[in-house]
Amino acid sequence: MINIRVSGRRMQKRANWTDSQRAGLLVVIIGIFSVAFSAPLYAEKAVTALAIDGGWVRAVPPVSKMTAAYFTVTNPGDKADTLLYVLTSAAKTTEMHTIVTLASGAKEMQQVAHVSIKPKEKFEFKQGGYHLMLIGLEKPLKEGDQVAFDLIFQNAGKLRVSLPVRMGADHEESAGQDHHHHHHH
Amino acid sequence: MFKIMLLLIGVALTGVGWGVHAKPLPINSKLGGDFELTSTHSQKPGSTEFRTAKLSEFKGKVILLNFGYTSCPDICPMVVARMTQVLKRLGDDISGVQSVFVTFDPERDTAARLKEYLAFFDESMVGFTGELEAIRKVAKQYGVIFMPTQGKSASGTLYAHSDFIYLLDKQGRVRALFATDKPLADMVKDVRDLLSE
Repeated sequence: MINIRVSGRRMQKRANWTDSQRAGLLVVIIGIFSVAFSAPLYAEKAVTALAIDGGWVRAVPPVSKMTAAYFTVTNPGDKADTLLYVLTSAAKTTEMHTIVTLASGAKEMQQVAHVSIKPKEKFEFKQGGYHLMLIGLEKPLKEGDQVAFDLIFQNAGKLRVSLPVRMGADHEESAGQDHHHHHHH
Repeated sequence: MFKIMLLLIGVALTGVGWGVHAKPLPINSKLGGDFELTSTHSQKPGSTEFRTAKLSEFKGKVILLNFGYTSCPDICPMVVARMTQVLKRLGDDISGVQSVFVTFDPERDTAARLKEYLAFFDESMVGFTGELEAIRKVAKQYGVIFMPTQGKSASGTLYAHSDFIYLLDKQGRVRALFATDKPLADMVKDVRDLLSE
């Protein structure tokens, strides 16, 4: 808005502009308007301090083109945020899935479009629960590799994290137990 | 007061004694049984061809058995990793134990693929694949449910499925079903109990 007011003043001062100059200025003003009012898909700068920790990616055999990644999102703020999607160059596609236990006792993976992180909440992506699925791995992931992810949140914007590739063995003890938390720094 | 303490110590010792001589794991007569499928460890020497084998060929060993598929990104590798953790914790006792993985996705899980997949976790793990109908029969024997899910995921076919690890004694009888939240230490204890039977 400020930019537009300044432009207005300049226009009054320069009354002897040609039509083409005026047209040019109009284009600039429209440009400013479109930048100022376009609704970005996500905020460019972090407005809340979400924290990502305890993350890791499961090492899988080279024959397997899919794996899963796990991490904890902590939202210390007063507003909910939404994890819209996750980008990585390690796989062709990423999807968020959860696991639902059916009446038969069988477990079913169900894709979720996005995940809401409530205020003051610690949201866990973990084995046997919510997880990030990496589909179509570009190359085999070895134990010790690091995988970069861009987590795109509705409010917090883009958070870049680098997660280690692990066999998952030292995490197995807590599998499926909600009360147990692991921290890796 | 002294008498009460003695009594308490007595009760505690009785508890310890009961723990040591715990009841043997019950035999599950409703589930289990032998089967014959294509085995990842029955290759003809010098050949890439895989042959069928029977589970009963491991008679005399305690068996950890699990059903899954290699395109499974979360549950199956978690369960297989838990099995390998149990094997590691067994130390020298591992010689009396055989870990087995049966796929219910034979279309994608050829014996060669299955072998490579399992070797990543533990070279000694034996995989079984085969005709879908034959696998269905085995799944039914063990009460395993598997069904393709209807989703829009880019991952291809995913299955809703059971995820128990079956503990079989030296005679191939089902003695315990381990859920994914069963502590590894408890699983190791149960395996050792069966080894000493």
